[in-house]
Amino acid sequence: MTTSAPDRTATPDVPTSQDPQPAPELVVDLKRVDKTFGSKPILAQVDLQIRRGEFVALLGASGSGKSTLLRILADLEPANGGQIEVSARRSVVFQDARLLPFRRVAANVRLGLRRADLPDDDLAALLAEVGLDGYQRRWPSTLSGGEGQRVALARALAREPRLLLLDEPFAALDALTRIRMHDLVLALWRQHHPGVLFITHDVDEAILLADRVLVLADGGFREDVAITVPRESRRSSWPEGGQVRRQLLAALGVQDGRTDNPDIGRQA
Amino acid sequence: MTVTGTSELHRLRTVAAVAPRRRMFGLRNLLRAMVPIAAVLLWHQVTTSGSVSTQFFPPPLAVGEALVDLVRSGELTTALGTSLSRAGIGLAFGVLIGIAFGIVNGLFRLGEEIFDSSLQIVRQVPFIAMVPLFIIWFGIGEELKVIIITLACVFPVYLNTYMGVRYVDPNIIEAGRVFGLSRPGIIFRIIVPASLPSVLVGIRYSMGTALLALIIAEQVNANSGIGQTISVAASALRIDIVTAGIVVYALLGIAVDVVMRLLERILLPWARKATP
Ligand SMILES: Nc1ncnc2c1ncn2[C@@H]1O[C@H](COP(=O)(O)OP(=O)(O)OP(=O)(O)O)[C@@H](O)[C@H]1O
Ligand SMILES: [Mg+2]
Repeated sequence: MTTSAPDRTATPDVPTSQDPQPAPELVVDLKRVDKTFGSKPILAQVDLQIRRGEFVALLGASGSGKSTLLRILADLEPANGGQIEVSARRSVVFQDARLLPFRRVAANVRLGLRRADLPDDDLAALLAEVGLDGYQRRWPSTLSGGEGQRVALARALAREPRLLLLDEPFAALDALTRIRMHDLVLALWRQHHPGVLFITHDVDEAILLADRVLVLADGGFREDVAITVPRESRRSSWPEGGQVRRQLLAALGVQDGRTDNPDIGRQA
Repeated sequence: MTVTGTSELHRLRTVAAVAPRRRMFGLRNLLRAMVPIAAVLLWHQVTTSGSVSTQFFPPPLAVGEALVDLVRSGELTTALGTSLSRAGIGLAFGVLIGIAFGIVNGLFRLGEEIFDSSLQIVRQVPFIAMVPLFIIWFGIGEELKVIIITLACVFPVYLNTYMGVRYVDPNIIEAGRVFGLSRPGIIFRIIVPASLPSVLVGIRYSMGTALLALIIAEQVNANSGIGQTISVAASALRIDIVTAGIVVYALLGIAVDVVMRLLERILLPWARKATP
């Protein structure tokens, strides 16, 4: 696997995705990537480009290979073929928190950093931002699942990544905390404009957060939808909203009107 | 399923929100002390009633006196010093060798292939069985004692370290890789601390076997140490001193336990599920 850092070269101030200016540098560049487990194909000839500042959501049925794709991008899993270039400055929030049980919260957030990289004040501010004010000296075993996940988020953000890989980071959180986390991720994204790959099962979450929504199925992207409506207008209904929803749900194999979820199709 | 009556329901335990302070003379400790106290009283009763010869079975007070005498004369301190340093040196070697092999074999396939099966074979031989051979090889001096104790201590530490290293949660190792730890960083900052609880379990077992090995080693040729105190007393038929020596061994066993608890408390503060 070739992992290079295309973003290492100095770049001028990167515009946010809302301003149409020269395209920022790539933080993910996959070309014809294949992945099989045994004889089971998971990814087939996948191309993916993510630019710095771009917020990409990845939908897909359970077992469709979303986590596998993320693990390839994180250099935790080798692909079987293709060309892979990924920013070296990346961080990951996994489906589970993966904190070191023998380090306190503060040391977990600083994992892989020197103390000078994240002084106490910044650490305290970061923890406060994820809603864990004063948790520095707690042991991971004393945290609730959602608190652990938020520590993992703080750990990922602490190093100001150029590429942020999130694997269903909020699946374990309650609805309210989840909304706060959405706002937090968006705020931090606007501030540091990393490229984001956000894996989720939730079509609404994907529509709410992303500039671009991909649906992974049968080893490839069955759908690639750009969402240009400003985020502020997405909570309420917007003209094409129902259409985008239906399109994504169809790609996921859910037919309109053939689902138990009363929410689905409500904006149509 | 519908819940009918109360038969489906079980009342679960509740605890007070604030744990009461452990008191020295709390009910729990009194209960724990009951059986030993009763045993000593019975011992006293039987030995002073005249129904058994105090030649063979000394009363507890006599043993206490012998113990006090041993302490007063300084003999116990010297003997204990000698015995403890033997046990300590053997334990230190055993623990170091056990941890080294445990880490290497746990981390590296090659190490495992080369050493593990041989170690497993050697482990099957009880160390006591090796004593006659060791006497021929190393004589009956101080080396012999340390070697016996070392051998006895290696395996509990080796096995537990190996298992601990081998079964570190691979997910946290991945987290370390993702966040840029180097290979030595992953070994020393993740694998080693994560397997520490297991290593400590091994050390706890080793301390127990160190004591056992000490006793056996001191029987071979007791020219100093508690073993000598006991064997000298035995040849003089001073049954009270012999028993006092045994009591000292028992107290050492208890001390081992206390030391280990303390070590675990200091080294594994995260393993206690409580808010600081
Ligand atoms: N190490 C492995 N060995 C064999 N098969 C694997 C391995 N890892 C994943 N798989 C298989 O690859 C497929 C994709 O797994 P992956 O974890 O990427 O799914 P996912 O899309 O993230 O699903 P979910 O939404 O449930 O998390 C699954 O069928 C899984 O069983
Ligand atoms: Mg997954």
